[in-house]
Amino acid sequence: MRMESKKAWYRWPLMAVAVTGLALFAAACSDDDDGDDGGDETPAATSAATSGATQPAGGGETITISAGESIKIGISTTLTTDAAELGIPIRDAALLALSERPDIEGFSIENVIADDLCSGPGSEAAAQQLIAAEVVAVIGPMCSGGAVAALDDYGAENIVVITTSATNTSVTAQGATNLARTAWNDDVQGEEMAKFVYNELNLTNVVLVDDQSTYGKGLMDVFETSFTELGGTVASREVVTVGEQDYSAVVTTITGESPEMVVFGGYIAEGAALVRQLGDAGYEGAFMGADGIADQDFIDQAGEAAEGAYVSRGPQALETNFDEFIAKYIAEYGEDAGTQFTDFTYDGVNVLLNAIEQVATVNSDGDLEINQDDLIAAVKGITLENGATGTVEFLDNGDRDLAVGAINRVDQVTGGVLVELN
Amino acid sequence: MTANGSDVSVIPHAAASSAHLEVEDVVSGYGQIMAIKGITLRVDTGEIVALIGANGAGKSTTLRTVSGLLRPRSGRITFEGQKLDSVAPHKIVARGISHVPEGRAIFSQLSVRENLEMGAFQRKDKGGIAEDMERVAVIFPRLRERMKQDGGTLSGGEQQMLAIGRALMARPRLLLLDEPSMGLSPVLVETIFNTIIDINRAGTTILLVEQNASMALQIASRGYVLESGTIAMEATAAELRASDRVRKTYLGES
Amino acid sequence: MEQWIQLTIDGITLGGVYACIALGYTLVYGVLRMINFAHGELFMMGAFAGVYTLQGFQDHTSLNEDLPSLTITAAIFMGIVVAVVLAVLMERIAYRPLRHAPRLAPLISAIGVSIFLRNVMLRYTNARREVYPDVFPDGSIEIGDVSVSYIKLFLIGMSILFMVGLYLFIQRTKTGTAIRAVAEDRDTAALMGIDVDRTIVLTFVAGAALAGATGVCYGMYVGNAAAGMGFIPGIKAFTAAVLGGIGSVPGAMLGGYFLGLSEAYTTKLFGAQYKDVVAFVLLVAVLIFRPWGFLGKREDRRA
Ligand SMILES: Nc1ncnc2c1ncn2[C@@H]1O[C@H](COP(=O)(O)OP(=O)(O)OP(=O)(O)O)[C@@H](O)[C@H]1O
Ligand SMILES: [Mg+2]
Repeated sequence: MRMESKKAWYRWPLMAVAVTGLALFAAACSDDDDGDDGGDETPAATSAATSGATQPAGGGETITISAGESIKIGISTTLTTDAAELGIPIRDAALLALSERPDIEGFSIENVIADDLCSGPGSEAAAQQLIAAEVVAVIGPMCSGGAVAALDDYGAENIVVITTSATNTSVTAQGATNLARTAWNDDVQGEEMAKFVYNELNLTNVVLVDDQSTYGKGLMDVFETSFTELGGTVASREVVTVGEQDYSAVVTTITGESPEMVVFGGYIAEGAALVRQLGDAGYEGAFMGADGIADQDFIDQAGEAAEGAYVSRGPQALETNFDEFIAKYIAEYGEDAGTQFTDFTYDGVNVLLNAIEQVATVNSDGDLEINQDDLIAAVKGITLENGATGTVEFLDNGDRDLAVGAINRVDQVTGGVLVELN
Repeated sequence: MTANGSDVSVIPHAAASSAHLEVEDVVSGYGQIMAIKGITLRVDTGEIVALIGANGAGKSTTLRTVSGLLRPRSGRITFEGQKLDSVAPHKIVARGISHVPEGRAIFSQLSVRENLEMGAFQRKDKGGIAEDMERVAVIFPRLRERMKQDGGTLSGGEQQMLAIGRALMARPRLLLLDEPSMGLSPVLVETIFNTIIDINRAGTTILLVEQNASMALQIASRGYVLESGTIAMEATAAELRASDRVRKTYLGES
Repeated sequence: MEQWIQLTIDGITLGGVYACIALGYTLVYGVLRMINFAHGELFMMGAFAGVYTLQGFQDHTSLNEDLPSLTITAAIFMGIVVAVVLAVLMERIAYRPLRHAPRLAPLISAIGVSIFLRNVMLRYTNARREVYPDVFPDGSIEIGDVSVSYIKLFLIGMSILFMVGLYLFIQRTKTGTAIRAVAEDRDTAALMGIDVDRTIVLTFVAGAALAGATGVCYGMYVGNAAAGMGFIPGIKAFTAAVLGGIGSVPGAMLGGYFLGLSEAYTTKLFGAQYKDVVAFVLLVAVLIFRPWGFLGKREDRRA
């Protein structure tokens, strides 16, 4: 019989609750986890065991790739969980750029993809996979929290990392020398967003909402500081939980403040749900988000409520080769993913390949030698002309150099699509 | 045939056709433990057969094996000429066997009425079910007043009545009763045993497991004594009552 | 004041969803003493079945505009069908073979099923959300400053309807009574002539139907279906079930509303970042004083 003894029967649901409670709590506390554990499906680093490359641990040694072996480039992006909506186009853009340059000095280029789950632990696990696969350099991690967490892992191996989408200030503020970033730093964007709202739209009373991620919260922190300095009022700051979709209580709290605008830092799924439910609740004020929602998916998911929403695209170079890039992307994948991160990624890969071309030499045995220190220096010192996002140059800390002619672009949802203002 | 203190007595087999339930060489138990080790017994149509034995002798195990809750490891069980071993318990109920388990096992969170309805689970004849519900209420008037009450709120005696009434709701041809007198006052034991006789007279064959051997042997026609998982004796009830061994061990006489 | 009324409505909306999912946990726990951790995924699969049905109507007919009540009913029906089929398969393939294994085994199997289903849908959708066509009439009822959109009223109403339906099924039908009998004592239920395996399957079916139907209504409400959408509601509903007393049907409903309201009020009082913390503090507090939950049975009678 399945009779339980008097007391024991509830013990185990109690235990299960304790465990799930802890899990939720941990999810709530960690910066940037989307609370989803669906990470069993990591495309494994493929050919760790058989490589002929020697990989010195730290200290800027020279990587030797024997004749017949390939140069391995790691890609750390998010392939599962909601954030994969951005992660998959990023992967696709990277693969497109790699496919255009099949070899360097006769050595073929191989990609190794790892799923970083847009989280700290996920990105560290991805780093371990890529390191084990003996990659020469890494594109990624995708999310800011993940980049901050995994930088040390790559640093210990002196592997150069180019993140094309982790935009939080803290990523480059770590002082890591092996890092460069093709996407713009959030500080600039947060400040520009505040100026736009205060100066251009003449709105003074806003509510800020973020998704508790490093990116979303960071962007709203900068916005709050700048907006308050300008003289505006942040009536309240609210958060939404990634992975949930019913934000009505947050919406009720927001509408209770009667703000002129709701500003959101976060990604598509949460932003769309928020806008939609604000609309359902009869909110008539303005809405603004940033590059995390700058995607047609945002508009499709939010429905009619998205109409009129402002979307900051961050700094944009005046002269870019975007049209040429996007034509190639569409030819390969059928449609524009609608996110600027594909463009940053395409440029990031080209920066990397150019740098490798600069420093890789074939020795007398016919092996390819790449000095890690030289590679880092080459990446940092690069000038990539005609990039999809304009001319790419880096500052000492790895941030993109804004001096190379850029403006801040803001779009507005008009007739169901993003349209650039001006 | 003399039953005084000697070996297993043998009753000449009646014609096979009158055998209702036949258990042949059945071994059964729990995991590694073989609680019954090859027992053979027979219940003929219309009989009350008593199965007595000490605690842990294997009486309940025998009933649980017949009703399908346990699968026999070896041996054969037939009921009305059809093989019964390895048939699922709910199908055995459909064949006409109801088992009132030891300790009543009524559904404490179901009302008395729902308990009775569950007894008739496989029946579709609404009219017949209502009739039988009424019949049970006549047999056990105390249940009638408590139809809406949760089973768990009944007294021990009432629960036993409910358990028997519930088994009758399936209109069984063979009723397996496991210690119906357990924990009941002497008066109530009388009542229950009289009811068992009534049920039997109304046409239901009964295999009765009892600790209360004297009562059991009074109403049974034949009996088996089970010791450590094997049949130690087999005789008419009168012979068993007269046997020294039974009197000493099971009737508590000196 | 209006805001608190509004928050109460918000809490009831979400609470109803939690309650409907919680019922599935509690029913299955009742008969198997097992937490079906893949239950949240049935909710998710129901939402996908609903969105694909409505998209199909959208692409091939004009029924979404002409006769939305029909297409919505069809979507809910498909949500139920898909969730039920999956639940039956899940029980058959992943749980029944482990019926007599140590308790942890089916639990791990359930987590495996959950991850499997989520990733199948991630793959299938390429991690994109499927957007529900706009079939439900826009607009809202305004009473003073309190505004409740039609879709929200619909979700509240449907969840109550589903719960009442399930409650009547469990309490008033023969199959429902059999489920309760199996939950209390499987062997004795078998002795009544109840097919225990079949009853267990029917229990999964009942819970799945509820989860699938709720998934469709919730999907229409939030406007999309996504592979990860069942995870957090699943955990919350499980919490609600434990809070109400796992195994207890009214308990699951009470627990769901309790949790929904607690989240809504906490969001206003302390901010949404604390709602889960508060919910779990309440849970622990309740379980310290009533380890069997609000309405759970202590089960000491059968010891
Ligand atoms: N579920 C079980 N698991 C393991 N062993 C069991 C189980 N149930 C009974 N047994 C063992 O099987 C043997 C026979 O038990 P059974 O219940 O058939 O005895 P019984 O003759 O009915 O005794 P009682 O008069 O005390 O009811 C005993 O040794 C008992 O310990
Ligand atoms: Mg016994």
